[in-house]
Amino acid sequence: MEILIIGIGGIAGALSRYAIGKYLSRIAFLSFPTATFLINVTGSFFLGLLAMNMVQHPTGGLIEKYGFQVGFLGAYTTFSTFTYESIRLIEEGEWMIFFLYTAGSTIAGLVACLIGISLKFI
Amino acid sequence: MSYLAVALGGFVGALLRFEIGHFFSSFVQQSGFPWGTLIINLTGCFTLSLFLTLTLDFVSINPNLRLGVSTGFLGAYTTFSTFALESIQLLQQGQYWSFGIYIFSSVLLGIAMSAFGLFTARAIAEYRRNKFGEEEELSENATGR
Repeated sequence: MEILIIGIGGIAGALSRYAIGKYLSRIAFLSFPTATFLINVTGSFFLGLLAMNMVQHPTGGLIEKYGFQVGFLGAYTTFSTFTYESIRLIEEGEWMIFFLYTAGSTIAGLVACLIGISLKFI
Repeated sequence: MSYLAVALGGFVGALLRFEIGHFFSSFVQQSGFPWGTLIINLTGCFTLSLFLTLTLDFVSINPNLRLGVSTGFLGAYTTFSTFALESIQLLQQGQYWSFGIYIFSSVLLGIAMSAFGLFTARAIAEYRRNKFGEEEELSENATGR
């Protein structure tokens, strides 16, 4: 059962990332990978929020843990595209944007997750 | 059709991540270090870079197949949100060394694995070019005689 829930979450997560990436590629500025950056930061925020909720309500259920955390948010955010875009920036000689993107994604992702954890409103 | 490819890849990628994470879970509990996510992300970084460089620069394949494998499968297999959450959890547990090592190994080794994938793809393309080049020369020699 958990396999099916994770799989469905994974489909929804991957499709959301694809759709957002497609939409944002039209309004992206410079060579900064805006879509992946926003996806990873928002996904980290929501995972922090859900993880905190699980601690407070440990009986949170299969859908929340496997469907949203492992399936949806795990598949929505991505690490491989993040590092691939990083090395492509190096190849293009965009060192400034490379540093901004790698350090910015890491710091903003962790801070967003921390903010999600500290919002205990659910 | 492109959405179907991404959906199919996302399904398989999320499940493979879960199964590999499950496989390493006892190891992670013993060591207190998120080995599962690190291994998933590093292998995914190498594979995506290898696959995209080969299919964008050297071999032409069906665009939907490329999208399904890259954006769907490998995008869903690797994860950023779990990496962020596990980092914060190490920080909250006061494991500052593990926190620092986890972040630096994920980001720096992830970038290194992507670069390794890119170079491997170029080496494969170079090897194939040389091989086919030699075969062409051989066949030319054969017809020449």
